[in-house]
Amino acid sequence: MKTRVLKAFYALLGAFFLLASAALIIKSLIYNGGPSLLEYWELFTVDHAFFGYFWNSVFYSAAITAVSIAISLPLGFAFAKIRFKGSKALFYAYLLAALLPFQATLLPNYICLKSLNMLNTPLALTLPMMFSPLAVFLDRQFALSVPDELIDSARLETSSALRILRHAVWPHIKPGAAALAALIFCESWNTVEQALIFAMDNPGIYPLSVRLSDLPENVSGAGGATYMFPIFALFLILRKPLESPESGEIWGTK
Amino acid sequence: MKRSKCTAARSKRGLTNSGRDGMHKKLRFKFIALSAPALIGFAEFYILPFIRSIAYAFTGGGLEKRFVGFENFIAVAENGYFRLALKNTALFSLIGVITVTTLAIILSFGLAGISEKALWIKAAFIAPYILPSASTVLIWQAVFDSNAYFSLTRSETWGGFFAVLPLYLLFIWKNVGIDIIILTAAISSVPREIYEAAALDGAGPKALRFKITLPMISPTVLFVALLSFVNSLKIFRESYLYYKTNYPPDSAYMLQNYMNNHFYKLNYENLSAAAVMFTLFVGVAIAAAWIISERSSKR
Repeated sequence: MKTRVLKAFYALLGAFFLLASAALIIKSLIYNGGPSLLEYWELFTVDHAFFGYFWNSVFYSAAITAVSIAISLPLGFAFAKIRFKGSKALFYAYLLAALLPFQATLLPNYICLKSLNMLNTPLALTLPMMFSPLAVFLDRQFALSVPDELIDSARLETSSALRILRHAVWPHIKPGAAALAALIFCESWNTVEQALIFAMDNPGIYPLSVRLSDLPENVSGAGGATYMFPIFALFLILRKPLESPESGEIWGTK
Repeated sequence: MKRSKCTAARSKRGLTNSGRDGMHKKLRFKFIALSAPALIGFAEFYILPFIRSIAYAFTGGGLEKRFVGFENFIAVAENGYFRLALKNTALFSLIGVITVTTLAIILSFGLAGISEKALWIKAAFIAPYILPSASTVLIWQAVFDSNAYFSLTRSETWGGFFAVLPLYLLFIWKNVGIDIIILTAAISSVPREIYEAAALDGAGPKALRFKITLPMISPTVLFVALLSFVNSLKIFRESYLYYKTNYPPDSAYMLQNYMNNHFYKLNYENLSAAAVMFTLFVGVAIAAAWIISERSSKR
Protein backbone atom coordinates (compact mmCIF):
# COMPACT_ATOMS: atom_id res chain seq x y z
CA MET A 1 0.00 0.00 0.00
CA LYS A 2 2.70 2.42 1.03
CA THR A 3 4.81 1.72 -2.04
CA ARG A 4 1.73 2.23 -4.19
CA VAL A 5 1.18 5.70 -2.83
CA LEU A 6 4.85 6.41 -3.26
CA LYS A 7 4.69 5.19 -6.84
CA ALA A 8 1.70 7.33 -7.63
CA PHE A 9 3.42 10.33 -6.10
CA TYR A 10 6.50 9.77 -8.19
CA ALA A 11 4.49 9.20 -11.35
CA LEU A 12 2.78 12.55 -10.82
CA LEU A 13 6.06 14.26 -10.11
CA GLY A 14 7.66 12.67 -13.16
CA ALA A 15 4.76 13.85 -15.29
CA PHE A 16 5.32 17.37 -13.97
CA PHE A 17 8.94 17.20 -15.07
CA LEU A 18 7.94 15.83 -18.47
CA LEU A 19 5.33 18.53 -18.97
CA ALA A 20 7.48 21.06 -20.80
CA SER A 21 8.98 18.54 -23.19
CA ALA A 22 5.59 16.98 -23.87
CA ALA A 23 4.05 20.38 -24.53
CA LEU A 24 6.78 21.19 -27.02
CA ILE A 25 6.36 17.91 -28.89
CA ILE A 26 2.58 18.14 -28.94
CA LYS A 27 2.80 21.69 -30.25
CA SER A 28 5.10 20.52 -33.03
CA LEU A 29 2.53 17.90 -34.10
CA ILE A 30 -0.30 20.38 -34.50
CA TYR A 31 -0.66 22.42 -37.62
CA ASN A 32 -3.57 24.72 -38.36
CA GLY A 33 -5.55 23.26 -35.49
CA GLY A 34 -5.24 19.61 -36.53
CA PRO A 35 -2.70 16.89 -35.94
CA SER A 36 -0.15 16.67 -38.73
CA LEU A 37 3.52 16.51 -39.52
CA LEU A 38 3.32 19.59 -41.74
CA GLU A 39 5.36 21.67 -39.30
CA TYR A 40 8.29 19.30 -39.71
CA TRP A 41 7.75 19.21 -43.47
CA GLU A 42 7.92 22.97 -43.60
CA LEU A 43 10.93 23.18 -41.30
CA PHE A 44 12.94 20.66 -43.28
CA THR A 45 12.01 21.77 -46.78
CA VAL A 46 11.27 25.49 -46.70
CA ASP A 47 13.82 26.75 -44.22
CA HIS A 48 16.92 25.10 -45.61
CA ALA A 49 19.31 26.86 -43.28
CA PHE A 50 18.00 24.72 -40.42
CA PHE A 51 19.99 21.65 -41.43
CA GLY A 52 23.15 23.68 -41.85
CA TYR A 53 22.97 24.85 -38.24
CA PHE A 54 21.90 21.41 -37.08
CA TRP A 55 24.99 19.82 -38.60
CA ASN A 56 27.17 22.62 -37.24
CA SER A 57 25.96 21.65 -33.78
CA VAL A 58 26.44 17.94 -34.37
CA PHE A 59 29.95 18.51 -35.68
CA TYR A 60 31.04 20.82 -32.85
CA SER A 61 29.57 18.72 -30.07
CA ALA A 62 30.92 15.43 -31.43
CA ALA A 63 34.40 16.90 -31.93
CA ILE A 64 34.47 18.49 -28.47
CA THR A 65 33.25 15.31 -26.77
CA ALA A 66 35.64 12.95 -28.60
CA VAL A 67 38.73 15.11 -28.21
CA SER A 68 38.18 16.09 -24.60
CA ILE A 69 37.50 12.49 -23.53
CA ALA A 70 40.65 11.30 -25.30
CA ILE A 71 43.08 13.94 -24.07
CA SER A 72 41.80 14.29 -20.53
CA LEU A 73 42.11 10.60 -19.67
CA PRO A 74 45.94 10.40 -19.37
CA LEU A 75 46.07 13.58 -17.33
CA GLY A 76 43.26 12.49 -15.04
CA PHE A 77 45.06 9.18 -14.57
CA ALA A 78 48.34 10.96 -13.85
CA PHE A 79 46.61 13.14 -11.24
CA ALA A 80 45.14 10.07 -9.56
CA LYS A 81 48.00 7.60 -9.62
CA ILE A 82 51.29 9.42 -10.16
CA ARG A 83 52.84 11.84 -7.75
CA PHE A 84 54.77 14.55 -9.50
CA LYS A 85 56.02 17.92 -8.44
CA GLY A 86 53.30 20.53 -8.32
CA SER A 87 50.52 18.04 -9.06
CA LYS A 88 48.43 19.22 -6.14
CA ALA A 89 48.70 22.89 -7.11
CA LEU A 90 47.97 22.08 -10.74
CA PHE A 91 44.96 20.02 -9.79
CA TYR A 92 43.69 22.86 -7.67
CA ALA A 93 43.98 25.15 -10.71
CA TYR A 94 41.93 22.63 -12.69
CA LEU A 95 39.27 22.40 -10.01
CA LEU A 96 39.03 26.18 -9.84
CA ALA A 97 38.78 26.50 -13.62
CA ALA A 98 36.08 23.82 -13.69
CA LEU A 99 33.99 25.72 -11.18
CA LEU A 100 34.24 29.19 -12.67
CA PRO A 101 31.32 30.41 -14.70
CA PHE A 102 31.75 31.13 -18.35
CA GLN A 103 31.66 34.88 -17.70
CA ALA A 104 34.86 34.73 -15.63
CA THR A 105 36.79 32.82 -18.30
CA LEU A 106 35.16 34.75 -21.13
CA LEU A 107 37.73 37.51 -21.32
CA PRO A 108 40.81 35.25 -21.00
CA ASN A 109 39.44 32.98 -23.71
CA TYR A 110 38.54 35.92 -25.90
CA ILE A 111 42.02 37.43 -25.58
CA CYS A 112 43.60 34.10 -26.44
CA LEU A 113 41.41 33.42 -29.49
CA LYS A 114 42.01 36.92 -30.74
CA SER A 115 45.79 36.60 -30.49
CA LEU A 116 45.60 33.27 -32.33
CA ASN A 117 43.42 34.82 -35.06
CA MET A 118 40.76 32.21 -34.45
CA LEU A 119 37.77 34.44 -33.73
CA ASN A 120 34.85 33.83 -36.09
CA THR A 121 36.15 30.40 -37.12
CA PRO A 122 34.77 27.00 -36.10
CA LEU A 123 37.94 26.54 -34.04
CA ALA A 124 36.81 29.35 -31.73
CA LEU A 125 33.65 27.37 -30.96
CA THR A 126 35.40 24.07 -30.31
CA LEU A 127 39.01 24.46 -29.21
CA PRO A 128 38.52 26.15 -25.80
CA MET A 129 35.86 23.61 -24.82
CA MET A 130 38.04 20.67 -25.82
CA PHE A 131 40.30 21.40 -22.86
CA SER A 132 37.40 21.04 -20.46
CA PRO A 133 38.70 21.20 -16.88
CA LEU A 134 35.61 19.31 -15.75
CA ALA A 135 36.64 16.30 -17.86
CA VAL A 136 40.08 16.18 -16.25
CA PHE A 137 38.59 16.57 -12.80
CA LEU A 138 36.12 13.72 -13.35
CA ASP A 139 38.68 11.47 -15.04
CA ARG A 140 40.81 11.79 -11.94
CA GLN A 141 37.87 10.73 -9.78
CA PHE A 142 37.24 7.76 -12.06
CA ALA A 143 40.92 6.76 -12.17
CA LEU A 144 41.10 6.80 -8.37
CA SER A 145 38.67 3.88 -8.34
CA VAL A 146 41.00 1.70 -10.43
CA PRO A 147 42.74 -0.71 -8.03
CA ASP A 148 46.51 -0.32 -7.88
CA GLU A 149 46.90 -4.10 -8.27
CA LEU A 150 45.23 -3.93 -11.66
CA ILE A 151 47.74 -1.38 -12.90
CA ASP A 152 50.66 -3.26 -11.40
CA SER A 153 49.71 -6.47 -13.12
CA ALA A 154 49.23 -4.62 -16.39
CA ARG A 155 52.69 -3.18 -15.99
CA LEU A 156 54.17 -6.66 -15.79
CA GLU A 157 52.70 -7.34 -19.22
CA THR A 158 53.61 -4.18 -21.04
CA SER A 159 55.69 -1.05 -20.70
CA SER A 160 53.48 0.97 -23.02
CA ALA A 161 51.55 3.69 -21.21
CA LEU A 162 48.91 3.73 -23.94
CA ARG A 163 48.31 0.00 -23.59
CA ILE A 164 47.94 0.27 -19.84
CA LEU A 165 45.36 3.01 -20.30
CA ARG A 166 43.57 1.10 -23.02
CA HIS A 167 43.50 -2.38 -21.49
CA ALA A 168 43.63 -1.84 -17.71
CA VAL A 169 42.20 1.61 -16.99
CA TRP A 170 39.64 2.19 -19.74
CA PRO A 171 37.48 -0.93 -19.16
CA HIS A 172 37.23 0.00 -15.51
CA ILE A 173 36.17 3.60 -15.98
CA LYS A 174 33.94 3.09 -19.03
CA PRO A 175 30.62 3.76 -17.26
CA GLY A 176 32.02 6.96 -15.84
CA ALA A 177 33.38 7.98 -19.21
CA ALA A 178 29.95 7.39 -20.73
CA ALA A 179 28.38 9.72 -18.20
CA LEU A 180 31.11 12.26 -18.78
CA ALA A 181 30.56 12.07 -22.53
CA ALA A 182 26.86 12.70 -22.01
CA LEU A 183 27.60 15.72 -19.80
CA ILE A 184 30.09 17.25 -22.22
CA PHE A 185 27.94 16.61 -25.28
CA CYS A 186 24.95 18.14 -23.54
CA GLU A 187 26.93 21.18 -22.48
CA SER A 188 28.44 21.83 -25.89
CA TRP A 189 25.09 21.21 -27.58
CA ASN A 190 23.56 23.92 -25.42
CA THR A 191 26.23 26.64 -25.72
CA VAL A 192 24.78 29.98 -26.64
CA GLU A 193 26.89 32.79 -25.18
CA GLN A 194 30.26 31.49 -26.35
CA ALA A 195 29.08 31.23 -29.93
CA LEU A 196 27.43 34.65 -29.84
CA ILE A 197 30.66 36.30 -28.70
CA PHE A 198 33.40 34.23 -30.36
CA ALA A 199 31.69 34.12 -33.76
CA MET A 200 30.01 37.51 -33.65
CA ASP A 201 30.89 38.45 -37.25
CA ASN A 202 30.27 35.07 -38.84
CA PRO A 203 26.71 33.95 -38.04
CA GLY A 204 26.92 31.23 -40.70
CA ILE A 205 28.94 29.03 -38.35
CA TYR A 206 26.57 29.43 -35.39
CA PRO A 207 25.35 26.23 -33.76
CA LEU A 208 21.65 25.45 -33.76
CA SER A 209 21.31 26.47 -30.11
CA VAL A 210 21.88 30.11 -31.07
CA ARG A 211 19.55 30.03 -34.06
CA LEU A 212 16.71 28.27 -32.33
CA SER A 213 15.14 31.45 -31.03
CA ASP A 214 15.24 33.00 -34.52
CA LEU A 215 13.01 30.32 -36.03
CA PRO A 216 9.66 31.62 -37.28
CA GLU A 217 6.78 30.95 -34.91
CA ASN A 218 5.04 28.43 -37.17
CA VAL A 219 7.98 26.00 -37.15
CA SER A 220 9.42 26.71 -33.68
CA GLY A 221 7.80 23.62 -32.14
CA ALA A 222 9.29 21.29 -34.72
CA GLY A 223 12.63 23.11 -34.40
CA GLY A 224 12.70 22.66 -30.62
CA ALA A 225 11.70 19.01 -30.83
CA THR A 226 14.37 18.29 -33.44
CA TYR A 227 16.89 20.15 -31.31
CA MET A 228 16.08 17.92 -28.33
CA PHE A 229 16.20 14.70 -30.29
CA PRO A 230 20.01 14.04 -30.39
CA ILE A 231 20.40 14.60 -26.64
CA PHE A 232 17.40 12.41 -25.93
CA ALA A 233 18.85 9.68 -28.17
CA LEU A 234 22.23 10.02 -26.45
CA PHE A 235 20.69 9.50 -23.02
CA LEU A 236 18.79 6.45 -24.30
CA ILE A 237 22.00 4.98 -25.70
CA LEU A 238 24.02 5.75 -22.58
CA ARG A 239 21.25 4.86 -20.16
CA LYS A 240 22.64 1.49 -19.16
CA PRO A 241 26.13 2.65 -18.22
CA LEU A 242 24.71 5.80 -16.64
CA GLU A 243 22.41 3.92 -14.29
CA SER A 244 24.55 0.91 -13.54
CA PRO A 245 25.81 0.32 -10.00
CA GLU A 246 29.35 0.34 -11.40
CA SER A 247 28.91 3.95 -12.40
CA GLY A 248 27.67 4.66 -8.90
CA GLU A 249 30.87 3.23 -7.51
CA ILE A 250 32.88 5.44 -9.82
CA TRP A 251 31.05 8.66 -9.03
CA GLY A 252 31.55 8.04 -5.37
CA THR A 253 35.33 7.76 -5.34
CA LYS A 254 37.08 10.32 -3.26
CA MET B 1 60.58 -25.06 -6.41
CA LYS B 2 57.22 -23.51 -6.17
CA ARG B 3 58.33 -21.44 -3.27
CA SER B 4 61.41 -20.02 -4.96
CA LYS B 5 59.31 -18.96 -7.92
CA CYS B 6 57.07 -17.17 -5.54
CA THR B 7 59.88 -15.30 -3.85
CA ALA B 8 61.37 -14.46 -7.21
CA ALA B 9 58.08 -12.95 -8.24
CA ARG B 10 57.88 -11.07 -5.00
CA SER B 11 61.35 -9.63 -5.31
CA LYS B 12 60.59 -8.57 -8.83
CA ARG B 13 57.52 -6.79 -7.54
CA GLY B 14 59.59 -5.19 -4.87
CA LEU B 15 61.93 -3.75 -7.44
CA THR B 16 59.39 -2.26 -9.73
CA ASN B 17 56.58 -1.53 -7.45
CA SER B 18 56.02 -0.07 -4.08
CA GLY B 19 52.62 1.50 -4.31
CA ARG B 20 51.94 4.78 -6.01
CA ASP B 21 55.39 6.26 -5.57
CA GLY B 22 57.27 3.38 -6.99
CA MET B 23 56.12 3.75 -10.55
CA HIS B 24 58.97 3.39 -13.00
CA LYS B 25 60.54 6.68 -13.92
CA LYS B 26 60.31 5.94 -17.61
CA LEU B 27 56.66 4.96 -17.40
CA ARG B 28 55.82 7.98 -15.30
CA PHE B 29 57.44 10.12 -17.92
CA LYS B 30 55.38 8.42 -20.62
CA PHE B 31 52.13 9.12 -18.80
CA ILE B 32 53.04 12.75 -18.32
CA ALA B 33 54.02 13.02 -21.98
CA LEU B 34 50.61 11.63 -22.94
CA SER B 35 49.02 14.31 -20.78
CA ALA B 36 50.88 17.03 -22.64
CA PRO B 37 48.06 17.94 -25.11
CA ALA B 38 45.62 18.56 -22.28
CA LEU B 39 48.20 20.52 -20.29
CA ILE B 40 49.25 22.69 -23.21
CA GLY B 41 45.66 23.51 -24.08
CA PHE B 42 44.85 24.31 -20.48
CA ALA B 43 47.86 26.60 -20.24
CA GLU B 44 47.05 28.31 -23.53
CA PHE B 45 43.34 28.82 -22.93
CA TYR B 46 43.11 29.21 -19.17
CA ILE B 47 46.37 29.89 -17.30
CA LEU B 48 48.19 32.30 -19.65
CA PRO B 49 45.13 34.37 -20.54
CA PHE B 50 44.24 34.54 -16.88
CA ILE B 51 47.68 35.94 -16.09
CA ARG B 52 47.15 38.43 -18.88
CA SER B 53 43.80 39.47 -17.51
CA ILE B 54 45.44 40.01 -14.11
CA ALA B 55 47.82 42.35 -15.92
CA TYR B 56 44.82 44.07 -17.54
CA ALA B 57 43.26 44.55 -14.14
CA PHE B 58 46.24 46.62 -13.04
CA THR B 59 46.32 48.88 -16.09
CA GLY B 60 44.12 51.77 -17.05
CA GLY B 61 43.97 55.13 -18.70
CA GLY B 62 42.36 54.22 -22.03
CA LEU B 63 44.70 53.83 -25.01
CA GLU B 64 47.97 54.72 -23.32
CA LYS B 65 48.32 51.79 -20.98
CA ARG B 66 49.82 52.51 -17.64
CA PHE B 67 50.04 50.84 -14.28
CA VAL B 68 47.28 52.06 -11.97
CA GLY B 69 47.76 49.77 -9.00
CA PHE B 70 44.56 48.69 -7.33
CA GLU B 71 42.47 51.49 -8.83
CA ASN B 72 40.33 49.12 -10.91
CA PHE B 73 39.79 46.77 -8.01
CA ILE B 74 38.73 49.63 -5.77
CA ALA B 75 36.40 50.96 -8.43
CA VAL B 76 34.78 47.53 -8.82
CA ALA B 77 34.54 46.94 -5.09
CA GLU B 78 32.91 50.33 -4.62
CA ASN B 79 30.46 49.77 -7.45
CA GLY B 80 27.02 49.27 -5.96
CA TYR B 81 25.94 46.94 -8.74
CA PHE B 82 28.96 44.71 -8.28
CA ARG B 83 28.19 44.37 -4.60
CA LEU B 84 24.56 43.68 -5.28
CA ALA B 85 25.53 41.09 -7.90
CA LEU B 86 28.01 39.40 -5.58
CA LYS B 87 25.45 39.19 -2.79
CA ASN B 88 22.73 37.83 -5.05
CA THR B 89 25.04 35.27 -6.66
CA ALA B 90 26.36 34.02 -3.33
CA LEU B 91 22.82 33.74 -2.02
CA PHE B 92 21.58 32.01 -5.15
CA SER B 93 24.41 29.48 -5.22
CA LEU B 94 24.16 28.72 -1.52
CA ILE B 95 20.38 28.33 -1.32
CA GLY B 96 20.12 26.77 -4.77
CA VAL B 97 22.79 24.14 -4.17
CA ILE B 98 21.52 23.18 -0.71
CA THR B 99 17.90 22.93 -1.89
CA VAL B 100 18.58 21.00 -5.07
CA THR B 101 20.99 18.57 -3.38
CA THR B 102 18.69 17.89 -0.44
CA LEU B 103 15.72 17.42 -2.73
CA ALA B 104 17.72 15.08 -4.96
CA ILE B 105 18.77 12.97 -1.97
CA ILE B 106 15.19 12.67 -0.71
CA LEU B 107 13.81 11.81 -4.14
CA SER B 108 16.61 9.31 -4.79
CA PHE B 109 15.88 7.50 -1.53
CA GLY B 110 12.24 7.29 -2.51
CA LEU B 111 13.09 6.05 -5.99
CA ALA B 112 15.36 3.38 -4.55
CA GLY B 113 12.39 2.19 -2.50
CA ILE B 114 10.04 1.55 -5.40
CA SER B 115 10.44 -1.31 -7.83
CA GLU B 116 12.78 -1.40 -10.78
CA LYS B 117 9.91 -1.15 -13.23
CA ALA B 118 9.31 2.52 -12.44
CA LEU B 119 12.57 3.55 -14.04
CA TRP B 120 10.88 5.71 -16.66
CA ILE B 121 10.23 8.18 -13.86
CA LYS B 122 13.95 8.61 -13.41
CA ALA B 123 14.23 9.35 -17.11
CA ALA B 124 11.41 11.90 -16.79
CA PHE B 125 13.35 13.86 -14.19
CA ILE B 126 16.17 14.46 -16.64
CA ALA B 127 13.84 15.94 -19.27
CA PRO B 128 14.14 19.59 -18.16
CA TYR B 129 17.92 19.32 -18.23
CA ILE B 130 18.00 18.45 -21.92
CA LEU B 131 15.22 20.79 -22.96
CA PRO B 132 16.38 23.90 -24.81
CA SER B 133 16.47 26.83 -22.39
CA ALA B 134 14.09 28.84 -24.53
CA SER B 135 11.27 26.29 -24.17
CA THR B 136 11.98 25.78 -20.47
CA VAL B 137 11.62 29.45 -19.84
CA LEU B 138 8.42 29.71 -21.87
CA ILE B 139 6.72 27.23 -19.56
CA TRP B 140 7.70 29.10 -16.42
CA GLN B 141 6.70 32.40 -17.92
CA ALA B 142 3.28 30.94 -18.55
CA VAL B 143 3.09 29.73 -14.93
CA PHE B 144 3.94 33.12 -13.47
CA ASP B 145 2.17 35.23 -16.04
CA SER B 146 -0.68 36.65 -14.01
CA ASN B 147 -1.54 40.05 -12.65
CA ALA B 148 -1.81 38.67 -9.16
CA TYR B 149 1.76 37.46 -9.23
CA PHE B 150 2.97 40.64 -10.87
CA SER B 151 1.51 42.71 -8.04
CA LEU B 152 3.28 40.44 -5.55
CA THR B 153 6.62 41.32 -7.11
CA ARG B 154 5.75 44.99 -6.64
CA SER B 155 5.01 44.69 -2.95
CA GLU B 156 7.21 46.62 -0.59
CA THR B 157 8.85 44.04 1.66
CA TRP B 158 8.61 40.76 -0.26
CA GLY B 159 8.70 42.12 -3.81
CA GLY B 160 12.35 41.23 -4.35
CA PHE B 161 11.78 37.72 -3.12
CA PHE B 162 8.85 37.12 -5.46
CA ALA B 163 10.72 38.66 -8.38
CA VAL B 164 13.58 36.18 -8.08
CA LEU B 165 11.56 33.14 -6.94
CA PRO B 166 10.82 31.90 -10.49
CA LEU B 167 14.57 31.79 -11.16
CA TYR B 168 15.13 29.57 -8.11
CA LEU B 169 12.29 27.24 -9.07
CA LEU B 170 13.54 27.07 -12.63
CA PHE B 171 17.02 26.18 -11.42
CA ILE B 172 15.80 23.44 -9.10
CA TRP B 173 13.41 22.01 -11.67
CA LYS B 174 16.13 21.93 -14.29
CA ASN B 175 18.96 20.45 -12.23
CA VAL B 176 17.40 17.99 -9.82
CA GLY B 177 17.15 15.29 -12.52
CA ILE B 178 20.85 14.97 -13.32
CA ASP B 179 21.58 14.82 -9.59
CA ILE B 180 19.01 12.05 -9.13
CA ILE B 181 20.57 9.98 -11.93
CA ILE B 182 23.99 10.18 -10.28
CA LEU B 183 22.72 9.65 -6.73
CA THR B 184 20.50 6.65 -7.51
CA ALA B 185 23.45 4.99 -9.24
CA ALA B 186 25.51 5.57 -6.10
CA ILE B 187 22.76 4.23 -3.83
CA SER B 188 22.43 1.07 -5.89
CA SER B 189 26.18 0.49 -5.62
CA VAL B 190 26.09 0.13 -1.84
CA PRO B 191 26.66 -3.61 -1.21
CA ARG B 192 23.53 -5.46 -0.10
CA GLU B 193 25.44 -7.41 2.54
CA ILE B 194 25.98 -4.25 4.57
CA TYR B 195 22.24 -3.63 4.79
CA GLU B 196 21.59 -7.25 5.68
CA ALA B 197 24.18 -7.21 8.43
CA ALA B 198 22.81 -3.98 9.85
CA ALA B 199 19.23 -5.26 9.67
CA LEU B 200 20.31 -8.35 11.62
CA ASP B 201 21.64 -6.00 14.26
CA GLY B 202 18.19 -4.49 14.48
CA ALA B 203 18.55 -1.33 12.40
CA GLY B 204 15.26 0.06 11.10
CA PRO B 205 14.75 1.54 7.63
CA LYS B 206 15.41 5.03 8.93
CA ALA B 207 18.67 4.04 10.57
CA LEU B 208 19.70 2.19 7.40
CA ARG B 209 19.29 5.35 5.38
CA PHE B 210 20.97 7.80 7.69
CA LYS B 211 23.61 5.58 9.26
CA ILE B 212 24.59 3.48 6.24
CA THR B 213 23.47 4.77 2.86
CA LEU B 214 24.16 8.43 3.45
CA PRO B 215 27.72 8.01 4.80
CA MET B 216 28.48 5.48 2.03
CA ILE B 217 27.41 7.87 -0.72
CA SER B 218 28.78 11.04 0.88
CA PRO B 219 31.56 11.51 -1.73
CA THR B 220 28.89 11.35 -4.43
CA VAL B 221 26.78 13.87 -2.55
CA LEU B 222 29.79 16.17 -2.50
CA PHE B 223 30.22 15.74 -6.23
CA VAL B 224 26.55 16.41 -6.89
CA ALA B 225 26.77 19.58 -4.81
CA LEU B 226 29.80 20.66 -6.82
CA LEU B 227 28.01 20.04 -10.11
CA SER B 228 24.99 21.98 -8.88
CA PHE B 229 27.26 24.84 -7.90
CA VAL B 230 28.71 24.98 -11.42
CA ASN B 231 25.21 24.91 -12.83
CA SER B 232 24.01 27.60 -10.44
CA LEU B 233 26.52 29.94 -12.03
CA LYS B 234 25.02 29.14 -15.43
CA ILE B 235 21.60 30.55 -14.59
CA PHE B 236 22.36 33.66 -16.62
CA ARG B 237 20.86 32.29 -19.82
CA GLU B 238 17.56 31.46 -18.16
CA SER B 239 17.59 34.80 -16.38
CA TYR B 240 18.16 36.64 -19.64
CA LEU B 241 15.37 34.76 -21.37
CA TYR B 242 12.98 35.01 -18.45
CA TYR B 243 13.31 38.71 -17.72
CA LYS B 244 13.96 39.48 -21.42
CA THR B 245 16.68 41.97 -20.50
CA ASN B 246 20.24 42.22 -19.24
CA TYR B 247 18.93 44.38 -16.42
CA PRO B 248 16.61 42.16 -14.36
CA PRO B 249 14.98 43.26 -11.09
CA ASP B 250 17.54 44.15 -8.40
CA SER B 251 17.00 40.95 -6.46
CA ALA B 252 17.81 38.86 -9.55
CA TYR B 253 20.84 40.84 -10.71
CA MET B 254 23.74 38.33 -10.73
CA LEU B 255 27.46 38.62 -11.31
CA GLN B 256 27.03 37.17 -14.76
CA ASN B 257 24.76 40.11 -15.65
CA TYR B 258 27.41 42.49 -14.40
CA MET B 259 30.20 40.85 -16.38
CA ASN B 260 28.15 40.50 -19.52
CA ASN B 261 27.18 44.16 -19.46
CA HIS B 262 30.76 45.27 -18.98
CA PHE B 263 31.95 43.01 -21.79
CA TYR B 264 29.56 44.68 -24.21
CA LYS B 265 30.64 48.09 -22.93
CA LEU B 266 34.22 47.03 -23.85
CA ASN B 267 35.15 47.93 -20.29
CA TYR B 268 37.93 45.32 -20.16
CA GLU B 269 39.97 46.71 -17.27
CA ASN B 270 36.96 46.83 -15.02
CA LEU B 271 35.83 43.40 -16.22
CA SER B 272 39.28 41.87 -15.60
CA ALA B 273 39.34 43.24 -12.08
CA ALA B 274 35.86 41.85 -11.45
CA ALA B 275 36.81 38.45 -12.90
CA VAL B 276 40.00 38.27 -10.85
CA MET B 277 38.15 39.16 -7.68
CA PHE B 278 35.43 36.64 -8.39
CA THR B 279 38.01 33.92 -9.09
CA LEU B 280 39.63 34.74 -5.78
CA PHE B 281 36.32 34.37 -3.95
CA VAL B 282 35.59 31.01 -5.54
CA GLY B 283 39.19 29.92 -4.97
CA VAL B 284 39.01 30.66 -1.26
CA ALA B 285 35.65 28.89 -1.00
CA ILE B 286 37.02 25.76 -2.69
CA ALA B 287 40.19 25.78 -0.62
CA ALA B 288 38.08 25.95 2.54
CA ALA B 289 35.83 23.11 1.36
CA TRP B 290 38.88 21.08 0.41
CA ILE B 291 40.57 21.51 3.77
CA ILE B 292 37.36 20.62 5.60
CA SER B 293 36.83 17.47 3.53
CA GLU B 294 40.48 16.39 3.96
CA ARG B 295 40.23 16.84 7.69
CA SER B 296 36.94 14.99 7.99
CA SER B 297 38.25 12.10 5.89
CA LYS B 298 41.31 11.79 8.12
CA ARG B 299 39.15 11.40 11.17
